[in-house]
Amino acid sequence: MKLFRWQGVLAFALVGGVVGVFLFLFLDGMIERGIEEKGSEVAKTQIDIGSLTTSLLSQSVALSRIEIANPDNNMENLIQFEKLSLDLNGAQIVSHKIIIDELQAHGIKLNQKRTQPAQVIRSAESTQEAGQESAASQSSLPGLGELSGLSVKSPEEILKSEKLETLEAGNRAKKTIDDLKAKWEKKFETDLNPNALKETQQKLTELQKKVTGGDLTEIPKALQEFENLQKDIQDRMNRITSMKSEFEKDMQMAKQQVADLKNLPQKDFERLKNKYSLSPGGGKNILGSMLEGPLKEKLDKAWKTYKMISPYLNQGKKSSREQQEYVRGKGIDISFAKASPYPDFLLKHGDLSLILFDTEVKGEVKDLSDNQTVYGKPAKLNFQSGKNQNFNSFALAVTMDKTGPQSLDSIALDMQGLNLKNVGQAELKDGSAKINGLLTIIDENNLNGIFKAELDGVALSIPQQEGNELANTIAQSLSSIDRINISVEISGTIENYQLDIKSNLTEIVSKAVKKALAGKMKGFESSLMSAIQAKTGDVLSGTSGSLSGLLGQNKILNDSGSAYGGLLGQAKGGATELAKPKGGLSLPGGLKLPF
Amino acid sequence: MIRQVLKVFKALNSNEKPWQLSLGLAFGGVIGLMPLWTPHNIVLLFLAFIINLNFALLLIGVFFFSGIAYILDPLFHQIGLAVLTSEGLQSFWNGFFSNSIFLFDRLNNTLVMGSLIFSLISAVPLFFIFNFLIRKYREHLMGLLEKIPFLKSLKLAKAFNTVTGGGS
Repeated sequence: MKLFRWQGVLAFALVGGVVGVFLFLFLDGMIERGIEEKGSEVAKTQIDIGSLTTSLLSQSVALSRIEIANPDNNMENLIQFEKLSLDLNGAQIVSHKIIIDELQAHGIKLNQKRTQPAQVIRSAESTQEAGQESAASQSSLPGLGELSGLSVKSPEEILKSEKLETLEAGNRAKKTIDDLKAKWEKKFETDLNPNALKETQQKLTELQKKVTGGDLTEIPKALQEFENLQKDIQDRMNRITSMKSEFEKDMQMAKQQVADLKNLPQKDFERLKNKYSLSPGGGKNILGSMLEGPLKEKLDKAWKTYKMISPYLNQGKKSSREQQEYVRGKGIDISFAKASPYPDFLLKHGDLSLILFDTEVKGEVKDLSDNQTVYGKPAKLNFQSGKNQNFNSFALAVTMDKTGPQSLDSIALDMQGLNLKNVGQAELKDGSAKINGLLTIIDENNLNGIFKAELDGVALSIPQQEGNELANTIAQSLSSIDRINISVEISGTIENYQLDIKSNLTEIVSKAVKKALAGKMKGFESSLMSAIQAKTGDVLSGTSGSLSGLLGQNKILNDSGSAYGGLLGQAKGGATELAKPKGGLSLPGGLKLPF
Repeated sequence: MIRQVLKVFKALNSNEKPWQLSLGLAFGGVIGLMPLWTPHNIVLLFLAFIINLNFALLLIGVFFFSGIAYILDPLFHQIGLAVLTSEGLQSFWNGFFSNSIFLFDRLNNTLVMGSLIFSLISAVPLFFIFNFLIRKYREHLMGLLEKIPFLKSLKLAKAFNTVTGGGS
């Protein structure tokens, strides 16, 4: 029997041919579905591709209508591309590396509405909220909608939701005093037992009787008994003195606690007044609350996207073998330094075209890789545009440098002469803006940056809100201004960052608040004070009552002290009398002593 | 399942040489023990097409040894990891993997490398063991099994199906 069957070559070629034809016919569709399914799984949001065409000869891929849904709002695309074409390095594909020599991305649009809702939905609630937020942001300037929330709560409502320090401290003080009272009552029962006083008194009376009996032989014994009794009484008096001193200390502490309560209602009043009263000096707070919320909302979205992208661009930190985890059925890939001059993913150069305010802005991306420690170059993204109908100039530069041990990412924006008519904000009727700033993110977490916006020739038109006098006054005062400067300083970490907002509007809003609230706030303050007093009155009087009760216990100590003092006097007197030679002391048989 | 069993018996009782059958099983073992979608499996498949081995037993071998591979997966990973990270072999691997074709073959993966080493080493003894067993079967058991009524009935059922066109 022959070892080889050469007709097997034909069979193999036939099978190979069938597989080849199948791939030729269906490869594009398979890749498209693969990207849509696997990409959606990885990105945790729906990815749609209109069409995908591959060319093995030119080693290129062309895609059209790519949509990546916003994970937080299924009716919005985070980013979409009209056309995307990639020239791949075929030799590197063999090494399982995706090296894109050249990329062309046209018609990039951000935050566009979807025609159909995305399938990946985290929760219906968040989607609904996001949808509402989106609708709100479309119709009004950030924060101006917040004017509707500028109303003053009634003191009763405030006290329902706020804790009063007076109440807490009052309850604490009352408990302390009641505990002290209980402690001293117990001490009096044990250490100042009334029976003990009676017994001592009885002993003294009996001793006095014994002495008056006139038996001479009993004198030394009686003297000794007097001495013992004196010592006993003295001990008790010493104990009472020490108790008095301890009681005095406890009293001082209780008095101090009650005295401290005196100023607390005023302190509570000041705190709540500052928090809830729209004081004439509160313009800064109002402006902060108007702008901070919407800004944070947008920044949070940006951080979320940044955090979603960052791990894919920083695989260098994970490349050491120890950090790879063995997965059953997959194993781990071992990297060999000399064999891997390229990272697993690299986009060498890409031409981009972003649609911003319905205007095309050209840009480029360079050296975007998943492992900058291997490639050695930071990723750079730049967009630039000259004068057009929407702005005089636009420049955006993003750098993601993860080549060193510490990641350093930065974003710099410079926009001149932005026509405010076309920014889609209903309240802005006219004017232009100059926006610039720089934000750096160190170690993918620590933020430091400042952005400034100067709006010139502004015409604001904010609709009146029925029944909200304060909001209307502020809106009216804002409508008369034509120049706005806002600077926003960002610091802290992505998880916990602070915004320091400064603006010339502070003064304008402050004046408006002063005008609207001058009369109202006085009434609010007096009723707030009355409400605090009414709420804390019982606790304060209860505490005073408890202190009086404790003070009353001092009398018991004084009375006991006096009683024992009297007994000691009597005992001393009795002993002295006994020790004195008395002429009247008769000896048996009429004899007289020789001394 | 019955069809597979019949295929085995058909092959065992056929006129094919024992080495053809045992080579089919050994090839099936090598392919089955390794991750299926690797380029070198295509080479093995090509060899299986041109070498005069029993293809039915190869497929049965692939099916059977794929199950064994799942159980031995951690062992393959350990072997691959030990070989690929061995200090003494680093310069060799650096040179070896500078050729992209080996990276394309995913030989730098611990599971692929581990299973390849294990399956190639075990293929030789497997071939001889299968060969020995087939010879022993043909010498002692084939005649006896032919007489078992159950197997006869299976054969008859198969023949009946073939005639009537029922089943597969």
